[in-house]
Formats: sequence, structure tokens, C-alpha cells
Amino acid sequence: MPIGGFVVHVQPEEKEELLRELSRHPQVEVFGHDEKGHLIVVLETETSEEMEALVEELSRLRGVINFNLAYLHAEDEVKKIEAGEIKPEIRFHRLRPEESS
Amino acid sequence: MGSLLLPRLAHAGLLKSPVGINHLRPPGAVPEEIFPAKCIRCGRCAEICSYRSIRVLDIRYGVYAGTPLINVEEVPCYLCMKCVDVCPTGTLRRVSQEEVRMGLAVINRRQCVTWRGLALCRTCYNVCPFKEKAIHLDQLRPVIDERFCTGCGLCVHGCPLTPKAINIEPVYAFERKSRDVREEEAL
Amino acid sequence: MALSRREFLKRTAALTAASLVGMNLPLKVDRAQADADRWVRGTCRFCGVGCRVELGIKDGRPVAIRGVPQSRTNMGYLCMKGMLFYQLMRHPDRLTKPLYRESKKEKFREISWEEALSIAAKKFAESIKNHGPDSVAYYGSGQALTEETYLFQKIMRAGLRTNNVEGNPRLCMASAVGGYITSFGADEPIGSYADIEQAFCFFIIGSNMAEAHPVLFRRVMRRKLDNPREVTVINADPRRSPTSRIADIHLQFKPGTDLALLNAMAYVIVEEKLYNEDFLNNYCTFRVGKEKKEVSFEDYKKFISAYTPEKAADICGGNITPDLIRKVARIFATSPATMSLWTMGINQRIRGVWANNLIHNLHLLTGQLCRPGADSFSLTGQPNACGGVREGGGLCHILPGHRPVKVDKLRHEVEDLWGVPRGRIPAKPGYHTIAMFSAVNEGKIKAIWINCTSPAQSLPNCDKYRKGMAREDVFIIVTDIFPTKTTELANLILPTAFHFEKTGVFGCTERRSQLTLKAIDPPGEAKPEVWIAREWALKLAEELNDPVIKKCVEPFLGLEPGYELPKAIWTEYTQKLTAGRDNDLRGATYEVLQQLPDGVQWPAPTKEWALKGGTYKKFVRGLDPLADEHAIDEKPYQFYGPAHKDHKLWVWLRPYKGPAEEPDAEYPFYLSTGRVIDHWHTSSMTGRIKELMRANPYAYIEINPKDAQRLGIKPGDMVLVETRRGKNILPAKVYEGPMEGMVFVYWYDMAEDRMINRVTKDAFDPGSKEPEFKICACRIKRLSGPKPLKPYLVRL
Repeated sequence: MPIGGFVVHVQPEEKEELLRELSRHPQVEVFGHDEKGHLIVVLETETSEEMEALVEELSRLRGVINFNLAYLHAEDEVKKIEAGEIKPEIRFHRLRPEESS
Repeated sequence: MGSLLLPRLAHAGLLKSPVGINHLRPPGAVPEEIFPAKCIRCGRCAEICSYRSIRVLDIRYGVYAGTPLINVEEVPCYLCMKCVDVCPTGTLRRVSQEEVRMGLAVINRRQCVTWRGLALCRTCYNVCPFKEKAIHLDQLRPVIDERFCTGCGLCVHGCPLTPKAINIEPVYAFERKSRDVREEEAL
Repeated sequence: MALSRREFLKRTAALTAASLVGMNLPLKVDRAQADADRWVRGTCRFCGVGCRVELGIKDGRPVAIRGVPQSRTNMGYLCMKGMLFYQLMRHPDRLTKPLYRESKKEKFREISWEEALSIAAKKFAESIKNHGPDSVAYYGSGQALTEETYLFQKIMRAGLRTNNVEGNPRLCMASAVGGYITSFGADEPIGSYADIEQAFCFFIIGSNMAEAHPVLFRRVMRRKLDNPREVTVINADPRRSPTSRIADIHLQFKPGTDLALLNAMAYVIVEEKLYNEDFLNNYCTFRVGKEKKEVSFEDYKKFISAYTPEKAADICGGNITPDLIRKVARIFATSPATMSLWTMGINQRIRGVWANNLIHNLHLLTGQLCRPGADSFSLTGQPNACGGVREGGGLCHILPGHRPVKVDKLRHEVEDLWGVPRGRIPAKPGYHTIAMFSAVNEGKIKAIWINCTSPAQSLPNCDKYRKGMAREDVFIIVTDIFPTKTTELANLILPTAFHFEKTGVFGCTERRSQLTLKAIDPPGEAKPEVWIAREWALKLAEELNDPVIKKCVEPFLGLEPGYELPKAIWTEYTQKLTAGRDNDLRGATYEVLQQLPDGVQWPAPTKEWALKGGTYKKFVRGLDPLADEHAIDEKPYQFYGPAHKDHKLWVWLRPYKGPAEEPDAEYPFYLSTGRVIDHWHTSSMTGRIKELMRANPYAYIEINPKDAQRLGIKPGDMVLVETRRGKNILPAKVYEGPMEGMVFVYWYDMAEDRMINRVTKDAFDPGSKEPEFKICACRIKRLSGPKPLKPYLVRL
């Protein structure tokens, strides 16, 4: 399961509200924050796709300026892929016009 | 004992360059591509090195046997620049101290205790012969400037951590031969 | 408790993210640390910052040291010295048996403790019988625990009737003591480290605190980086150091011209009416000369008119211009809160007390004092120079509790508290450090006990004093944990317990007393100093047939030396000796200190007050219980310091005076010495930590590139450094550190060729008696190209 460390920049005045919002997510752990509006957030999800989706979702929250990945641990996922437990969707060819639209 | 005489790595064998992280050619060395061809294995650079930084490779290194190498983790290069003066073939070019590019120091920020915020250490900064230029402190944390780093390895040697949080990557050694060298050879 | 792998990964992720925005998270991920069975709390053994640490023990062996994020001093941060000193506890070089030799030419042989203590007592007794009490001496250390210094000085003064009690703090902060007492009437800073987070201007002079006090400097830097526009950092130093590199303004003046610079800043403050009239009227008087004559503000103005910025810039040289002095003085005076920080650059001067006074003057004129963030704060180099030596009576002229020896009333008070006959303590102060070792040279001192320090390396012009120490008719006892340059000259070496191998209190720079608990047993036969002193005193009592000596240690007889004995000594010292004094520690009992890992800041007269952490700012009513107790009027600040009966702060008229030895045609360079972050003092400890020794295996001489070019010196070349006293041969480091015309050498190296104190000058301040290590004249010459050098440590 991938573990990612993020620096989240938020509007300082929205910080408290956002912290409450984040505390509702079971996959999110806030390790610290400061008065300038930096949050240190660690996400833990089942798959990378899930994490991507979660980041998408969280970065749309009110007050979030951006959501930066600083550290990603995905070794376990790689092991699972190696063991054949997960099959990642990877395309080895260029996108055809109908796929990209 | 017998195995000592065999090539160092059975699969990499006789042609694998011994240059790697923290294992570097002496100052002013020509690109690794032509180094073993140009060096005549006279051993003068190792002989003149008063710090015993330069080691001559033994037979296990295949075609590289007899060429000089510095393991900066053991003994770094103090940039006394004596070796470049005695090299008879120009394999070690006569560069000045500041022009030496044995490699580039790279800090592993996840290993370095200062970057991890566990302790205040600035050993690499203190020992650097070009401190403030090659290494400066940003919020008390060391940062490398590749414009000035000579790759001498004093920082690697000094780093108090195991494994080292700062290492020299031989980024210049595997650059392609410059055009004029190739042209020279063509003539 | 071991971390789960998942937890470890999550913490790493969080810390990596936090490091990108410079945020501190109270997390630790070091796996070695998580492996310890138990953690014992204490303070760091090295500099005067007083970082709170925890020693990790696994299977009875020390395995790690970690910081504690909740700590009030270091907030969890440590430097590499602090992080690695656990390696010293089981180091193979540790002294583990008493060693003795009759003559200094012989080899040492191992003897038993019984025999060792008998010899120690017999030699001291013989000397006293034949040559009088002043023929013996104790030379202690700012690294000894308070209990140790206190017990030794009690035995020396009341037992052996001599005030020959000194310590290496004389070499380090005696001028700061003099400065505080003459300016404020009471020793030690008014404020605390907590002022750093509230200050808006830092005036750092004569201190490379980025290397000498790295963890405290981190707080300064944090303050600056968090408020880059509001906070100004000014560094005044002849050398460009890591400290000056983060400063907004670096004043680079010629060594020894600081008095002119400081007076010129005062001139600007007076000329531009930047002074705080209310503060001056309410709390200050102006004083001049030895007689401490009171003069008026008008007199002061007249005096200061001689120090125009133009004239000072002329004297100071370097990059100092009149406009720069004006600018700095304006920032100093008008910032919402200014904090000055200084160390040896100011203290180790032949006018160290005056230099201290002049810094205090700036604070008094502008009223930058007693408010949050505004303070005149002297940094201390050793972990217990403040707590043990300044407060515990470890210098020849002071008794415990900041009592001058000369004052009959206070001396009799101490005699009564100890229950010894009046007149037992001589009225005359003993030899100060340089006088003490001069007396050794002259053969006036026949037996000397050197505890926990290495004067053979740390005294200025040390060759001169080593000659005396090598005399066959001087009996030298050394108590230490490792062989040093001084044990080479000893007759008797007694192995002692190291930090965390005994219990005791360290008092750091900000009046904070912290308890370190015994975690492991000392190796071999090494013993805590308090035990050694007690047993030695009993033997002395027998030898000299003097019951009063026994009386000195009677309250401590039979107590277990690991905890009970130091506790009893601390109890006597705090409950009896500090009662009613300005460093009142009665509330800080062992029980309270056990409860408060961050310790207590004095004054702490009651347990209730101590449990709140003590006093953050002295002299302020409401914050300092003694300010309320000694109040003479309704004003918010009460300066009740024992030295100023008028309850005022004194602004001193101190003229400019240069260094003792200035460069001339024969010796054209200034030579200054200092510290590097990885080594501490004489490197007898840090030199034995392999990681630190590998980083800085030997000292070198820093030369300005312009000078180097002129003299044809290239990096790494061997350079001969000569002064009127001796010579050193050091490898060169050419870099923009010292200003042109100045060279700089680290003083930790023990190798004879690179021991810089063989060439420094032993001129000293007539007031504080602190020598001028920092400035002398030298000449340099290229000897040869680079030579490989080996690190050197004294071994038996």
C-alpha cells in the first residue's frame, strides 16, 4: 500500500475548517501545520490510483492552494504487482485519437 | 586465495570500469572512455600522492589493472595537484585546483541528519576546501553548487553517518569524448 | 518501544514533506534509537546551552542519545557532539584504575584506591605542614557537577584554610561575571533563551555561536527566517564565520577595536537622542573609575563625544564606515526588542570587563532590558560554568551563593552555615588562574589538584606553565576520564565517573539547573568525584589531625555515592548557602528537579515557584519573586543585585583600549583562535568519537586569500606560525574567513606542533583576570607543500 507525504498550502484563514474536513478522511493523517498555512499530510491508500484520486479530491477542497507530493513509498505495491496480485493498467502504445478524447 | 586473482566480478568482467560512486579517477582525468587507453600505468601519480589517496588497481580489474583510482570514502583527494604535474601522457590534464571535476557531491536528504531535522551537523560544509562556494548553508542545511564542486570527496570522508549521506557521483567521467579529441584521433 | 514498519514509513513521509517547508515536527524516526530498552534523562555534557537529552540503554550499555522535542532549551535538536557522546562511556581509552608515579620521569603503575587516597592526603598534608595552607591548590572546571565543585571548595576553604580554589571558567567567562556585577549589580543574565523568540534585533558580537552554540543559534536563525523583514541580525566579528553569513549586517573590524565601536554606537544613540530618558532617570546612574564615582549624564555626554563614528571607523578599520556605525546604532536603539549575545571574543580581552560594560551601556541607554525579547545576554562555553563555578563558589574570590570572599560578614555567614569556627576561611582571595600557575612555576605551590580539565593545553602561552607543572617538587593530582596533556604531567591520576555514570546538577547559561541521573555504572574502578573528595577529606583529617576537616564532610558520611551523596550535598548547598541570596535555589530540590526534566531557573525560593519552572526574567515585579520581596518603591523593575546598594544599574564611562599585543613590522599578523562545531575544547572527548575525528582530524590555520596570495601560500601548504612565545606548524586553509592581516587557528588539536596555545599570549584583564587568548601578534611563513598529517591524541 503506497504511503505519500505531502506539503499542502492552504489559505491561512481556511486552515481550521480544512483540518476538520481532513480529519473525516480515514486515509489522511495530518502530522503538523503552521501559521503560514503549510500542512504536513500523509496519505495511505490501497493502490496508487486510489491515491491519485484522493489527491484530486482533496485538492478541490475549499482553501487548498496546492497539494505537493514530497515523498512516496510504493514498494509494497510493486511487490504485489510482481507477485501478480495487482494488474496495473499500463498502455505500451501511443494513445489513439478515440482513446485520448 | 585463488579467487583473488579472478576478475572482480564474473559477470561484469574485464571491461567494466572501476569508476563509480565514491570511486574516482585522480584530478584532471580524461573521460573514462579513453582513460585506460591513454594511461600507460606508470604509477607516478600514486607514487607522488603524499596522502596515499591514489591507489593502483590490481590485476582483478582486467583491462583497468594498473590505472589509478581514488576511493574518497577511505582517503579523499586533498587537491595538492602533484599528480597532474607528473603524468607523462596527459591522461591527467594539468588543471588548476578549481578546475578539477572528479565528480559531483550529492546529498541524500533522506539520510542526512540535518535535512531530516534530527540534529545540526555541518561537517561537509566545514571540511569543504571551497566552502561557501561548493557547499553553502541554506537555513543551516548543506546545499551543493555544481558550478564549484570539484568532487574531491573531503565531505564524503568527513560525513559522520553510516551509510554516508553525501556521496560523489562521477558525473563527468562518462561524458562522451569531446569533439576535438575524436578529431585528433582521426588524424 | 519499536516502531512498526508502516509507522516508520509514515513518519519518514511526514518528515520529508516537513523538511521542504522548514517545519519542525516532533517526530523521531531513527531506528537505532527506537531499539533502546530504556531512556534516562539528563543534559548534554558539552557546551553551555544545556540541551536536554535522553540516553538510551540497551542490555546495560549506552546505545544512543536523542533530543526531547518538549524541551525548553533545545526543542529536540542536538548537534553531532551531543548525539554521539554516548560512545565515550564504554571507550577503551577510559581511565579505570588509579595510577601513580613518584617522579614525573617514571612510568605510571596501577595502585588501589586506598593507597591512592592515602598518597593524595599525605602529599597535601606534608605541603601544608611544611609550607603553609597556601602551598596547595584546587583547579576545577566548568564541566564538574555543582555538587563536586561545591564539595571540593568547601574542603579547601574551611578544611585546608586556603582560598586557592580556581577553575577554568576564569579562562572563559570571568569577564562576563565582572561585567554583570559592575553594570547590573548581580551576576548572570536577566533574561532567558525564551527572549530569542521575542526579539527583533540580534546583536551578536565576538561570538561564532553557529559553531560554538549551534542549537541555540538554530533558534536565532528560526526567528530570523520566520520573520525575515521584521528581524535584523547584526554580527560584529573580525572573522567571517557561519554566524556572520546569515547576518543582515556584518561589522568586520580589526581585532581588539571593539571598545571604540561600542562607544561610537553609544555616541550615535546620545547624539540622535535615541536613548530612553525614562529608563535612564528611573533606573540608572553613571559611574567612572576605580572609585566608582557617580557622575551626571552631562559628564557622560562629554566623555562619549570623543568617540565620533568617524573616529571609531578610523580605529576599527575593516569594513567599518561612520554610516554603518550610525545605521547599526539606530537599528539597535529603535527595534522593538534588541538582544545582544556574546562569548569569548568579548570576554577574552585585556579589557574584557570594559567590553562587557559597554554592551550593557547600549542596553541601559536605550532601555532595551527587562522587556520580552530585550536583553544583554552573555553565552557561556561550558555546561556548568554558571551553575557550579559562578554560583557554587568555584573561583578564588567568591564563596557559594555569589558571596565575595573579602566581605567579612558574608564570609562569617558561610562559616556559620558550615558549622566551622569563624576565621577558618582566610579573608584574602587565593591565586587566580594565571597567578596560580605562575606560583606553580615559582615553586610556591607544592601540591595541586586538577579536576576535569586540561590546563596544560588550555592555558595561554602554555609552554611557560607546563615547565612549572613538570617540576619534580610539584605534586600534581589529576581526576579525569581520559588521558590528556595534563595527565602527562601528573603524579597521581584518579579515574572518575563520566556524565550519566553519576548523578548531579548542571546549571546552564540561562540560570537553569537541570538534574542528570545516573544511568549506568562507571567502568572499572572509576568513581564519582564526590566520593573521591569525601574519602580524601577523611584521610586529610587524620593526617593533619584536624577535626574541622572531618566536620566539612560529616553530613555526607556513609551515603551511597551514586545518588544519595550528591543529593545530600545539593540539599546543603541549596537550602543553606543559597537561602536569601540572589541565586536562591531552595525550591529546586532533587525531588522537584526529578519532576521537572527541564529544570528550574533561579531565583526559586519556594517549591511552588520552582514547580512553575522558576524565574524567566530577573528583576521584574510579578515575574521574579525576589523583585517583590526586595522592592524599595513602586517601580516595575527592582534591581536588588547584591553588589549595587543603590538598587540602580550603572552606565560606565570606559575609554578605548587596544589589545595587549598589536602587530608590528616583525610580527605583522593578528592571530586569533576559536572553535569548530565538531570538536569541543581540548578534544580529549570529541577526539575519541571517530565520526568527529574523521571530520576534523587536525587543526589548520585560516588565511585570507589576499594574504595567502601575497605570501605564496596555497591551500594545504604547511605554514610556520611564530609569535614571541613559540611556534606552530599547521596546514593552511585559504578562505574568506579572517579579514586581511589576520589569521585564525582552532585550538582543539593536541599535537605539539599544532597546539596553538603554545603561542598565544597570557596577558590578562586586570579586573577579571581573564587572559587575552583571542588576540596576539604573529608572523607566518610557507614551509613546504602539503604534507599528510595524522590526528593525535594523548594515550597512556
